[in-house]
Amino acid sequence: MISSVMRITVKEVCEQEQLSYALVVELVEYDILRPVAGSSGEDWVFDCTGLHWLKRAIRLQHDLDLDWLAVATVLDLLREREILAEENRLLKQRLSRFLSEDD
Amino acid sequence: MVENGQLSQVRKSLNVTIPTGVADGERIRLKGQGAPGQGNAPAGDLYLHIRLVPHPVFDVKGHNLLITVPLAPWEAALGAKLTVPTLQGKISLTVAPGSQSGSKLRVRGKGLVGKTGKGDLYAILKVVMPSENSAAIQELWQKLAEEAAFDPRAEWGN
Repeated sequence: MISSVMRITVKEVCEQEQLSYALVVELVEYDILRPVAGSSGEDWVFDCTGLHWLKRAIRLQHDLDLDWLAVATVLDLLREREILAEENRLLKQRLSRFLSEDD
Repeated sequence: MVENGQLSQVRKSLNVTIPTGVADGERIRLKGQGAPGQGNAPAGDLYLHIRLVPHPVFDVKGHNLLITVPLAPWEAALGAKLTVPTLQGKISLTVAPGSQSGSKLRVRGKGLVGKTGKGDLYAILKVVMPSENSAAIQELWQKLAEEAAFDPRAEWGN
C-alpha cells in the first residue's frame, strides 16, 4: 500500500522545483505560493494543491516570459475560474434534483 | 522504465491510501511514483487530483452533505416524521407543519469527515405532486383551493 502525502516542506519545494529559498519567499510574497502551516519561512509547509499552482506558475513564467507580478495575476484568475467551474458543476447537480427529467 | 536510453510506457496498478478528510479538488502526492530520474536522480512524484463522483442521493458542499427530501403536499402542510438515509445509516427527521419547499433542516455531524471535524447533513425539502389523481382526490383538491384562498403570486400584483 502506497501512502500519500498531503504536505510538502519548503526544503522539499526548493529541491524538487530547483528554486532558491529566496525565490520561494518572493513567490509567497506574491501570493503565488501559499503556506498552509509554519510561522516563518523555514517552517513553512505547503499542500499539494499549492504545489500544483506553483508548477503552473513556473510554466507560465517560462512559456509566456512574464514577470512574477503578471504570473500572480494570471494565477488568481485561473484559481478563481477553477473555483467557479466547480461551484457551477455542484449547483447544476443540486438544481437537477429539483427539475423534471424533461429539462 | 528506461530502455536503451528511451522511455517506454509501463502499465502499473497502485494501491493508494487516501487520507481521511480529503476534499473534492484536493491534490495528493505519491512520492517516487513519477517519471524516473536522470542518472542517479530519484524518481519524481505522482500527483492525484481528487474528484468526488456524483452520488445518486447526496450532494457535497465542502464537508457538508445535502439530501433532497421529496414530500407529499399534505406532509409539508401537516408536518411529518420521515426516515432519511445518511452515510451512517437511517435517521428520523421531523418536518414541521407548514414547511416550505426548498427549506433546509440541519442534522449536525452527519456530513463528511473533514480535517477539523465532521460536517453536517442538510435535508432540503421538495414538495412533489402525485402524478395521478382519482376523481375523488381531484374533488378534495378543488375544495382545498376554495377553502384556502391562497394566492402564491400575490406579490406580482395580478
